[in-house]
Amino acid sequence: MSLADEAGRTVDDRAADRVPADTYASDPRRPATSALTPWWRWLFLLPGLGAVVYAVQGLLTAGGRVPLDSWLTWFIGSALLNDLVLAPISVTLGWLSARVLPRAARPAVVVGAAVSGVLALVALPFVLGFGADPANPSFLPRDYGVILLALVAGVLAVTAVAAVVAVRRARSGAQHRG
Amino acid sequence: MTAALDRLLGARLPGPPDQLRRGPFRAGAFSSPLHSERRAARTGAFLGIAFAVCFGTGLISHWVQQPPGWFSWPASPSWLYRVTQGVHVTTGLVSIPLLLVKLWTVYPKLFEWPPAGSPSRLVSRLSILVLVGASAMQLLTGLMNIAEWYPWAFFFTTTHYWTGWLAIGAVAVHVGAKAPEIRRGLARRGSAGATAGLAEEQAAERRTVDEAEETNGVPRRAFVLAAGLTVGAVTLTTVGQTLTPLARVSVLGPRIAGVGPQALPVRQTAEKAGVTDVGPDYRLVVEGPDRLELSLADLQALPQHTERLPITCVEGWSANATWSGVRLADLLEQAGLPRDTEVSVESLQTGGLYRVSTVSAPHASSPRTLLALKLNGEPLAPDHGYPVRLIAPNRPGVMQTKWVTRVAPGAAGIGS
Repeated sequence: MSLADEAGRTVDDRAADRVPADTYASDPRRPATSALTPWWRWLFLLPGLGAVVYAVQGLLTAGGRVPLDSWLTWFIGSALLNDLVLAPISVTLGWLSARVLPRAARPAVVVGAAVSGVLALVALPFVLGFGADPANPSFLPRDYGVILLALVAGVLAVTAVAAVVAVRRARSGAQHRG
Repeated sequence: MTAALDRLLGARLPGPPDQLRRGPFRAGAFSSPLHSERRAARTGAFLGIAFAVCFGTGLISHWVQQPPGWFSWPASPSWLYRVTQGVHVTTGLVSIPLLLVKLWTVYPKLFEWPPAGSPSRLVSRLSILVLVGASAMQLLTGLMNIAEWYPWAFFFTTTHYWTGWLAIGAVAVHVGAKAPEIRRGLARRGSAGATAGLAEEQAAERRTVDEAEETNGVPRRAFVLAAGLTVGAVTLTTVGQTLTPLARVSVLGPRIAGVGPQALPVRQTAEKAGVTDVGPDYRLVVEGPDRLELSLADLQALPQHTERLPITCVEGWSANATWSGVRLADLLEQAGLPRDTEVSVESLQTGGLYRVSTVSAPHASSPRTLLALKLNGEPLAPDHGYPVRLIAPNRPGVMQTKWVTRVAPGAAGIGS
């Protein structure tokens, strides 16, 4: 089933009738502890846990090199950057495109928006240029703002052409059928 | 015993009142069939490979700079570190679009209702927080490091190392925890493996979702194309900082090979290092049984050798240059030391964690390792380490000490 439906489920009705007397039972056909198989999962779980423990002890013993409040801010903040900023933008744009665009144009526009958005995100630190040193012109030697605009304009131009072609093709296809 | 454990892990925890179930928390709020287990598993496979390669090459870079006892890094081929570090930065950058796509496919799970229905869901969600936080932080701070933008209080190198272990550990735990789902998601559509372990109704729903992916307004093909093109775009616009033939094509690269003083980019300037006025009283000291104290003229009078070697920065950029100067091994021999002595090379720079670097035996004895006096035919510019700069094959730029003033036997750690 899709992840969205899974998220929407409150009670697994398929379990209820298997253990009628116990409202706290999960589906006994899929118990939480059916964890032993596949066998190779342990090759990931155990070293993974080891690496996490190693990392935590390293961070806690790094002393002045890693002030933990700053680390935590960036740790939580990076997660929230996607969850509260980037993903909502994608979801909103997707929702808008479903309402505004002809159906045939949507795939091209989604691809074009994705490429533009990712390029803008990756280029942003260079465009902002906070790391630039006036005494070192060999670092950040380009005008990244102009470059990003040119890249995005190019991507959107190709996207527009692809979208128009797709809509024309869909319309002519409909006419032939109709 | 497992039944009791099941009860414990699967026990229903009280949830928030249903009136709060608004907006993205509503049932059916996310309608795209692309939010599927199959998309998540397949995108995750690519992301996992990128992360594994990024971690492995990053670990190599760490070991080259802080070698554990058992680790030995060769002096040849001269381009090996260029490849490993170039791959490290490229896979890191490419992981950014892959992670964003992966997080989009599983976004509805952020809004699952109730938010923590059982203890096992609670543990699972906390482990996902660690996974997303560590991965996102590694990629975000890594990108900002390439732009030399440090708006935080921690030391980047140390943090990047430990958070890297945290991220790869969390990825491995995630793969282990989701093993049945991954197996299903990677199985061919319609095959028995695609619905293994599912009840009949769930298997039927799964098949419906997989078919809906093809006929959706934005079909699976478009999703895969979007993922592929974003990866390609990020690669093409940045990889030229490592791959010189693409230097002009990679328009987002923070440095261009061939652009800089003496046609070589600079990482740290003489001004920042506080080494701007080196006068005629400069001496290069080589500590050994026959201690040497050489002026610049003395060094210029010794037999000179010319080598073409790259500067390979840990930030991923690298560029070739022609260096000429005195062979380090020759100087060591002149000072009465064996040609393959492990030595520390010290800079005139007084502060900074990298003012001393250790040259291990393979690099000290290599005939290509120079104490360079000239770069691309001219005496070293101050920003490139005037009067003397260490240049050895297959070594990160941060260890190619500039403004060298002293060579002494023995290893020195970072921060000496």
